Parts: sequence; C-alpha cells; structure tokens
Amino acid sequence: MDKQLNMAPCGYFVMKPDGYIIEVNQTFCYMLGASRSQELTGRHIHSILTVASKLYYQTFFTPIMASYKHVNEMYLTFKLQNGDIPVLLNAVEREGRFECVIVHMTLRHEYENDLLQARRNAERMLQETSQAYENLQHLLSEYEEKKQEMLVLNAALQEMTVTDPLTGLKNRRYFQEQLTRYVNQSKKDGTPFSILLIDIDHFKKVNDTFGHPVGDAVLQELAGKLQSETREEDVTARMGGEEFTILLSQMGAEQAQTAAEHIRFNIENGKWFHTPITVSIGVASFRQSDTISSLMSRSDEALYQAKKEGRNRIALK
Amino acid sequence: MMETDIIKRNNVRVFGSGEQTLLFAHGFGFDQRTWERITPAFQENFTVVLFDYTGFGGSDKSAYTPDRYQSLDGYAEDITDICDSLQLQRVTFIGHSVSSMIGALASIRKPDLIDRLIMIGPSPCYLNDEDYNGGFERQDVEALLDMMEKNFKEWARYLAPISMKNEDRPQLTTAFEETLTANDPKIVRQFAEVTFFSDMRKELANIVVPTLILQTRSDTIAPVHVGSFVHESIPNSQFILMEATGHNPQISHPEELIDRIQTYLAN
Repeated sequence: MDKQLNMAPCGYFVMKPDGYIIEVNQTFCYMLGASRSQELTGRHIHSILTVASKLYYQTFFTPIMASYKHVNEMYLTFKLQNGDIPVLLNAVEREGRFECVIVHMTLRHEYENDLLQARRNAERMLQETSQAYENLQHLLSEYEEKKQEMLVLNAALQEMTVTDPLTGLKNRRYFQEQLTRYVNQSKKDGTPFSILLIDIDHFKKVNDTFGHPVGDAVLQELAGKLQSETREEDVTARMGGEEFTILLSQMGAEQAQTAAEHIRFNIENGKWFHTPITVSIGVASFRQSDTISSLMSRSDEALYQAKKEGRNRIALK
Repeated sequence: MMETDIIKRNNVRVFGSGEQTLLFAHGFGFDQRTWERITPAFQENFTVVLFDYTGFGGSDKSAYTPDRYQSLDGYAEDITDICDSLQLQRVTFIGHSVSSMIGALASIRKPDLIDRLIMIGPSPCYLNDEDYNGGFERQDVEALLDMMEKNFKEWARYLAPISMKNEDRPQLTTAFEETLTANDPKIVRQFAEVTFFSDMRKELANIVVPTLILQTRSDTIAPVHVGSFVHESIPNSQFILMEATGHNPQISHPEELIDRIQTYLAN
C-alpha cells in the first residue's frame, strides 16, 4: 500500500462484497487497537461491529451498496476490546471490492447523543405534562362527582333532621324554625298566621285495644289526612306522641277557625282503615303583642279547653 | 375502503401472467423495489403482485395510523386488504424477514387467501428469552433505534431518487426527499419497534399451510438456529439452508434465491 494512504489521517479498509476484510491501512489498525494488519485482514466486518451496528449494517449497508454502489456518511459503531468507537463510514464499490473510509466522530457522537437526549427529554416532558393534565382532569371529575354525592347526601341528611321518621311529616325542630320565621315576618309586615294544635282523642285506648303497631298506623293515616287538608304553604308537623300542629300561613283567627273545624269534621267523618278517631284542636292566631311562647301557650290553652268541653271539637284562644 | 383506495394506499402493482399468483412482501427497511432482481424470473409463468406496506415506499403515508400499526396484525391486515380488493385466493406468499411472520398471521386470520408460505430469513422473536436465543438483548435493539435516528436523513436520501423515478427532474426528488425525511422517522421507528419486539413463537403452531423456510448462512439478524426453530414449530414446513450469506439474499444472491423458489413451486 502506498505510504501516504497507509498513514493517511483516516481509517481505510477494503472488503469483499460478502463482508470479509482484505486490506487495511495503518490508521485503521491504530483506530481499532490492532498492532498488526494481520489481526484484521481475513476477518468479517460483522466481527468488529457492535450488535446494533451489525443489525443496521445488514439492514441498510448491503442493500444501499447493491443499488447505488456507494454509501456516504453512514454512522456505525465499531467494537473494541476497551470500549466502542463511533465512526462515519464512506464506501464505494470498485472492481468488485468495497473500499471504505472511516473517521472518528467521538465529538459529533457526543453532540448527537446530547441532541437525541434533549429530544427524548422534551418528548418525555410533553408526555408527562399531558399525563399530569389527564390525571388532573380525572381528579377534577372525581372531585365533581364526590361533590355531587355530598350535596345529595347533605340534602338527605338535612331532610332527615327535619322529618318525623314515623309519619314523614316535618318534626318539632322544623316547626319551631318555621314558627320563628313566621313570627319575625309578621312583626315586620303584619302578615297574619295561625297555629292549630291537634291532639287525638283517647289515643291511649287505640294503643291498648289494638296494640302499638296499629297505633303507629293510625298516626300515619292521620298524618296523611292532615297533609291533604292543608295547602302547600302551610306547615304540618308532628310534635311528638299523638300531638300535631299546623302553621296556617296568612290566616287570621276567623279563617283559622273555619279551617280547623273543617279538618275536625273530615277526621270525624272520614274513612279509617283501622279504627275511627276524632281530634281536639286548639286554635291560636298571632297577635302583634305575642312572643313565640305566649302564642304557644294560647294554643295549649285552647286545646285544653277543647278537651275539657268534651273533645272532638275546636277552641280558639 | 374502496378497492382502488387499497391499490393506491399500498402502491400495489400487478404484472406477469399465470394462474398462480405470487405475492411478494418486503421486509423492514425496504419497499417493493427489494424484489427487482427476483420478479423478472417469474413474471412469464406467474401473476406477480408487489406492494408497499402503508407508510413505506410509494404507499399513501397519510393512511398510516400509529394505532393500526402498533403490532404485526395491522400489517397482516394490509395483506388481507390487498388480497380482498384484488379478489385473490390461494396465493403463494413470499415474505422477506419480518414479512414471513406478517404473511403467517394473514394466513392464520384468513385461511382461504394464502395457499402456501415462503419465508426468507424468518425470525419469530428477535429478543433472547430464557431458553430461547433470538440473538438480541433489548438494549441492542434500543441502540439500533438510536442508530437509525442518527442515520435517518442519510438513508432517506438513498431511498428518494428511485422511488420517484425522477432523476431527470431533481426538484421533484428533493421535494419528495423532504417529505420523506419530514414524515417518516416515526413510522420507520414504530415499524422497527413492532418488528424487533414482536414475539410470534406461539403463533407458529397455528400455521396450517405448507411452508418453505429459506435460511441463509451468516445471517446475524435471523441466524440458522432461529430458522430451525421456525421449522420445528410449523407443522407442515420444509427447511432449506442456502449457500447465500447475509440477511438479504434477494439482493446479494438473487440467482440462488430464484432457483430455490422455482424448484419449490415446480413441486
């Protein structure tokens, strides 16, 4: 080999088309860490390529050489005993042999790796960001779902705290809240309202005769009747035991009295599934001088009077 | 999809004459031009069908979706689509490299389409696995993917001129080259991943059509013992160890390959 080519600042080797190396220059030996050219000649190119490069070489080098008779700037990695070296390879087919030149590309290799790494990082960050966004969306919809559940649950709880479990009517607590509201309203603008305090006559007898389950059923039946006797804007509540109240919205004493009598009449003459009952009703209408307790006392007194006068009647105080 | 759309999508070419149809399928890194030294020997007595997988060669790259082509099944669908739109039945499928497995999948999915399989350099699994020596570790394949990325622009340049056949109008070639280098890396990379991370070992037993395995020597991608494994796993198969070396006998040793296929077809 010509001395200039032998010592040229690039690796030079010649191989047969089947990949066996025939000739190498000194620089090529030096680059591959061989002390004598005989260590490389006779070997197959595969034996000095890394696995990945071998794959790449077989997939691309051979077909390109077959079609174009030359290869330019192919990036490959040669396998050395103490580490691999990245190279750029140019090859040309001449007289049935492949003449190849390689140059080290350590620096460019690092630079390319950095670029590749940077791109991978960017891709990963993008992926992570979209993943995080997706998670966030997921959390958000989960939160919304839970919030809806809480709202429904809260409403149910709210309902439970103001409902009498046996009859489904409002309970004493709700009645008192509403009464406060009615009193305040009336004090402000003079809107009239009345309360009916309703007690079943001889309810103890019902329980003693038919037992508590029937007693409960009667309470439920009465609740249903009271509910249907009143308007949407009235408040019908069970105070406890066999005692019920109705807050009659925007009704003065006279109207309340008529309503109470109407209710009493219908209870006396209505159909009862288990056993017929009658009720006594105390009626009290709000006066501007009233407090909650004075109003309640009057309705109590009215009820007491109705009972005393023989039950199954109404009394106004 | 309309018949003509498939023909266009996969750049399908039909030529030659003969009752029997030979369907040639290119491997990873190639397109139908890989068969240009082989098909002239067959077009006199056979109908020859060539095509490019969606995303490669002269195919319609806009038809490529990462979802459809996330496994070899998507590529097998390309085969069955082509057979359906040409109303082909009982074809002889000749697949290079990964296409051996794609053809096998197509024959399993639609048994009427493919009469026999000719596999050139098949490997059902490139990665090593416990008792199985596929030849590669995961990091080798990952290094290959890196290498492809770094080399990509360079070999795209080689692919361009012929595929357009516009060497006298270089401006078109440049435009095409730009499209290629702009669009393809992701497709090529995904096909590489699908190919090199595929595992078809369990499917081999389901191949019922007669199968010829053409194995070359010194093939580092699909070594001899892998070819033997394929032979042992496919019930009705025949194994021939060629004189040819390397993974691409259709390019490096066309005469022997033609001879082997002709001998097999004559029987």
